Amino acid sequence: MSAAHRLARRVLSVALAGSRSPWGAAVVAELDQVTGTWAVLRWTAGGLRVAWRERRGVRLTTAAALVAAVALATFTVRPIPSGAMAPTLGIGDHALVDRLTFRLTGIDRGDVIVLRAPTGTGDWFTTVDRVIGVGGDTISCTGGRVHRNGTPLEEPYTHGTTTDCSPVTVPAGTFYVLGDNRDSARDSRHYGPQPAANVDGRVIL
Amino acid sequence: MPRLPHTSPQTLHVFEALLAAPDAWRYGYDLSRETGLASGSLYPILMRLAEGALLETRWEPAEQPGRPPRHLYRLTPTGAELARARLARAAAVSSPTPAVPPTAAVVTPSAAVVRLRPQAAS
Repeated sequence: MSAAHRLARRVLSVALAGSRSPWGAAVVAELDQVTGTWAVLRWTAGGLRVAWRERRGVRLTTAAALVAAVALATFTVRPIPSGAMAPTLGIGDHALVDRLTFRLTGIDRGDVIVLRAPTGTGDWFTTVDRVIGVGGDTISCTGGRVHRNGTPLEEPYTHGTTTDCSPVTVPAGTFYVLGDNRDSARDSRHYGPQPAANVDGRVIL
Repeated sequence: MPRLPHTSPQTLHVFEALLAAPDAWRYGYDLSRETGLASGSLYPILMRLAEGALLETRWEPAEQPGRPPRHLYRLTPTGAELARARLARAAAVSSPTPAVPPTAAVVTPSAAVVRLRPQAAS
């Protein structure tokens, strides 16, 4: 048996390891008939193609597992950590959070986001808040209502509670967030606009 | 309309080779030699035919110890019927008027030149 035959056998046995279909073995069995290095290489290349086709089921399973893993990493269900968004989202409610696609599509005004925010004592806490202003917006409060760039916002989700805040211009690359529960939420009124790097996800449901 | 299966020129070559001796069990290597198909083309065709129960397969016990058993192929009755139908269809498509003998269609090169350039002759 030539060196080409030995190499071909080794390559194909690796390609066919664990295969349960007979076709790869059928191609290997014919190798004894093939003479000439070039012909052996050609026959082996065809055997690899057969091995690839045989593993279609395995490939589909692998692809499905990859898609599932990415989906699981992207979309997570997490409990609401505080009453800052009550009554829209109460403590212990479960929210579906998208942790990936917002990084591609960006975050806009009105999005509800999961945010890591400083407590003010050197620690961090995770909060869920609504984006009120993006970079360049001016936020102010008059008569208990939030104004963005001088226009009062319609905010049915606050259910009539009043909002007090200090006027601020949101720096580029940061978000000004408020909890829907304006009476108790700790939000940008306390810790200021937060950089996009502190955003962990966007609440979808 | 979906393409009719088992009509590729390569598959037709395999049909021809298998129909040459419809009752004989054939080796893959011999089929590859007769059809001129590389193993990477031949075996996927055999796999498709076997999936459709058009081809039956069996393992031939090794002649000598230490040699791997070889895989053998033969058309099933359904497969042979389909193979003949596909080859007949291909023949009908390539020569739509089978009543005319093929030699009548041959045009000599000089005749073609004359017909393409009628002014040149005058």
